[in-house]
Amino acid sequence: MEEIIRSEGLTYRYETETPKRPALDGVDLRVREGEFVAVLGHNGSGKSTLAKHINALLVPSEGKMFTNGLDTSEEDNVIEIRRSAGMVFQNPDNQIVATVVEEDVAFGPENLGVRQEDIIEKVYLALNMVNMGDFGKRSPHMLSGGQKQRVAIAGVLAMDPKIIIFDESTSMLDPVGRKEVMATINYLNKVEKKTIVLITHFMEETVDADRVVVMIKGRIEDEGTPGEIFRKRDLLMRAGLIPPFASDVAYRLKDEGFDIGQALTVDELVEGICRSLQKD
Amino acid sequence: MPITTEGLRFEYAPGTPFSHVALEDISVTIDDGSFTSLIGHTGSGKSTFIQLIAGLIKPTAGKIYLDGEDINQKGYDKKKLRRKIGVLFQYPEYQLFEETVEKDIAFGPTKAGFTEDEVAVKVRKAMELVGLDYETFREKSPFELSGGEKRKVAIAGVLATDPQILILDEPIAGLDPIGRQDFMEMVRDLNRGGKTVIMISHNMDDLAEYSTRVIALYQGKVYLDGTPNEVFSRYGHLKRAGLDLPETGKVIQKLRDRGIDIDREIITKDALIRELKKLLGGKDD
Repeated sequence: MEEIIRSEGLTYRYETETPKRPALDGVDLRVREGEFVAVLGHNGSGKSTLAKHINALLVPSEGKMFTNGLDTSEEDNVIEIRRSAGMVFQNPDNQIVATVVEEDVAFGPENLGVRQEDIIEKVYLALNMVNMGDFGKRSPHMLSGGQKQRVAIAGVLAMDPKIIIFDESTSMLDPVGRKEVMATINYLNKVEKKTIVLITHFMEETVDADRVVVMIKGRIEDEGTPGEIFRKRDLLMRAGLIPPFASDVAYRLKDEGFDIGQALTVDELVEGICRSLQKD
Repeated sequence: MPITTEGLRFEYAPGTPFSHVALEDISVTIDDGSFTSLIGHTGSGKSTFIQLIAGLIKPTAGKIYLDGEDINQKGYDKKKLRRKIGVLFQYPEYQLFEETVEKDIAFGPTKAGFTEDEVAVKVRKAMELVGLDYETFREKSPFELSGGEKRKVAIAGVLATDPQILILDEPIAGLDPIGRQDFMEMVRDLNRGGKTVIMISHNMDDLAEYSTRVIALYQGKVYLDGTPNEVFSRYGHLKRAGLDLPETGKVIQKLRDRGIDIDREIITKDALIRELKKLLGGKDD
């Protein structure tokens, strides 16, 4: 099976609101197994609502969502769906339930009925993947924001999901914590071959994604590689997004008649400048 | 109304095995109308420093003067301090509690003893300062607003008592990029309008862009102190203190590593682009 996530005409209306338009309006999302897809959008664009459909926290008002081949509106599928698609949220403090790191990570597999002797192995496998293997006996509240968020990721990994959804998982962290979590996400995709759906409003977090999906007002407005999307200034403006530093500098230089090529990162920008200087 | 500290020291749990010196020998003057940024790694003492100057905790040793008066001397009127200094803590939207935006902002000035009419004027003015339209927002519940709007309500609550000095602890954390930009521009306007701003942030680019002075704390001491250009051009020092460079600094450092002669005191994006244009434009001669 190639497409591990597939939505068809997915539309969702929140019951409590009386909006003129639905939160999601006819979304066709397709994610291949092993792909790293970033969903970019401003507040209120529907990106988090879309994320919550992937693991059946929400089910479509109209249209369909299939996760790992299973229809999320079938009640009988929910447990299997949650097992295959784990979710990491914004605030690490709201996701940690136990007083010792290893117990926190064990919470998921215990509830899935994994045998006790296998649990500890799963827990440390997961903690090692997020580089927190030495912290198993620690108390979560003594950890930094980035470390706590990595424990939350380990808690998801301990259930062996194929898909991991990150719903603005870095937005409450300091720069160091943000770097740690982004490095973990890349590792899980490139090495552990997990399918990643990253929900964010920070463009700089999407540079390593295979594909970027841009949402505006509940619809997918455009999609493409980070390079293709970052080039579209009008689109970014309409979506309420601010391009990363390096890409903005390169773009503004081009505007002034100095084309140093596209740059997504500081290294690419420096490379482009040096190349241009050497040309003559 | 400058703030001056002399030999400020703060120790947590002194005389116990858990004692820890958070700040040591801090002597600084923060001038009226300045925009001072405090930077430092987690645990460097930044938050302790602002709690001290806001009079929320007392120093183990040393003095703090506001307008020439020692704020910890016997008989000093703490109410005066509260009126002069407004503090916005991290994630201030968690402290909103009233049914409507108007009531929430009115809480401070009401407690400070202003009449109903005076409070109404102050609330309206505070909302204007933060860019929240009075008629649109006054009757709304603070809880149905966006993250950026909630934060504006929180800062309006601080501004409603008309403090001369604004202390902001990580005010943009958790906001989306456009919310951050809006918020920083609002703070800049308040500063230009005459308020003294003291701000803690991890976002070096914003600090480079907006502040007039930067103080870096490291292991409880003043480590660097100067204009943004002076502080942010000292790459080696910043790295040693576990601090990030602004993006501009990262670009310049990498260009210099490649043998390209470019001034380290360039710290804003606009200045970098101007300089790069000169560099690229001059390659033909």
